[in-house]
Amino acid sequence: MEDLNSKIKNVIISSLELEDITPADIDDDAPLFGEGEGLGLDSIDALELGLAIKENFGVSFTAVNDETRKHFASVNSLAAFITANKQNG
Amino acid sequence: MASTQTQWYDRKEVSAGTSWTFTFMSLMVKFLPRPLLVAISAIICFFFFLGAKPVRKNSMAYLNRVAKVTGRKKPTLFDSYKHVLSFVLQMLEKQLSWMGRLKVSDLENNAEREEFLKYITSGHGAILLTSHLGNLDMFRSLGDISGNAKIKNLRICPIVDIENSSRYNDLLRKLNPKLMDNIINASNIGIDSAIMLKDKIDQGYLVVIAGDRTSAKNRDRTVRAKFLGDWAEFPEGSFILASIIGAPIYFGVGIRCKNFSLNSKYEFMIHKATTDFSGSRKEKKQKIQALIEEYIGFIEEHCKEHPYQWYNFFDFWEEKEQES
Repeated sequence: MEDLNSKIKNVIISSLELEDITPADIDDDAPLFGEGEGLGLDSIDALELGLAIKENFGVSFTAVNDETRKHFASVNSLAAFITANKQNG
Repeated sequence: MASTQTQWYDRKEVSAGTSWTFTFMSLMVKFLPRPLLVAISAIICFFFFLGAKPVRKNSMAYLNRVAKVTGRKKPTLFDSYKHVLSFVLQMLEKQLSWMGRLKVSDLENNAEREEFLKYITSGHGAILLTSHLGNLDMFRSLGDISGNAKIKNLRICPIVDIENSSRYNDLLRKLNPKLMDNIINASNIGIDSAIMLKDKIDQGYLVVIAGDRTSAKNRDRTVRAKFLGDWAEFPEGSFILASIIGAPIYFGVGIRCKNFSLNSKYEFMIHKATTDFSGSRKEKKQKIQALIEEYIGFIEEHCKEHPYQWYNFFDFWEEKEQES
C-alpha cells in the first residue's frame, strides 16, 4: 500500500507539473480538490489527473456517478480504488 | 449575469412547451406534409413571438451584430421573427431526423466532410466541437445508432446537458430509443468522466460536445473572446476537455440550405482545428484561448452566411443591447 501511495503522488506531481512539491509534501489523507484545502487542485487538474491515473494504473469506468467520484478524494482513497479495480479487472 | 442566465433557462423550457404540445407536435410531424408544417409553424410562431419579449431582445442582440460585421442593413422585427421561426423549424426537423426520414442523399457533397468521415469510421476516435448553429442531430441520426444505420461505423458519444432539455429529450427518446445510448451528462463532468471519455476515444468513438453551451446549473469558468465584433464570454469547459483528451479536434456545423423549408438539402461543414496541444502544460492557457478563437472564427463564418440558423438565444456579450 505504501508503495502505491508514493507512486500515485509521483503521478500527481509529474502529470500536473507541480514543481515546488515533493511526494513528502502530499498528505495521504488530505483532500486533493477544493480551494484552500490540501493540494487545492481545480477542475482542469482533475481532468488531467484522471487521464494520468488511467494511463499509469489502467483503471476504467463503465458509469459515472457521485459514488465513483469519492474515490478521488485523497491519495489513500485513490490507492484503495486502484487496488480494487485491478482485482476486478 | 447569473439572473439573466437563469431566466433564459426558465424561458427555454417554456418555449419548448409542455409534454402535450410535444405529443401534438410529433403527431403533426408524423402525418402532415412538410410545406403545411411550415405554414402552421409560421402562424403558431407569430403568436409566440408577440409574447416573448426577452427572446426578441436576445435575437436582436445577435442579429444586430451579424448585420454590423457583414455591413448588411439593420435587422427589423420581421428578421427577428424569421430567426425564431427558423428555431421552431429546427425542432421539427430534429424529429424528422430521429424518425429516420432524412437521408444521406439529403446531404450536399463536401470534401472535408468525406475525409473526416473516412477518418472516424475507420476506428479512430476524435472530438467534434459543435454549437447551437444549425442542426447536428440530423447528422447523428444518420450514424450507427439505429439498426438501419445509414453511415456505417459512425459511433457517437454526445455530451449533453440532460437536465436542461429533459422533456424534449423524452420526446426524442420515444421517437428513437437509441438516442440516449452512450450519452454523457454535461452537468456532471469530473475526474471520472475524463477517464470514461478517454475510453470512448480509444474505442474509436466520436465525442461530440457543444462549445457554446451555457449551463444553468454549473456556472462554468468563461474565457473572453471577440464574437461577431464584440467581447463575449464563452464557457471554458468543453475546450479544456478537448485539449486534454489527446485526440484530433474538429469543428462541425449542419445547415439547412433553405432557411424556411423542411424539404431542404443539408450541408454538413467540418473543419479540423490546428491548435496543437502537445508540449508543456504551462502554455495550455494560451492554447485553449487560441482554440476558442479558432472555434469562434469557424462559427462566425457560418453565422454570417446563415444568420437565422443560430439557435442560441443567449446574450453572450458584455455590452448589453438597449431596451427598445
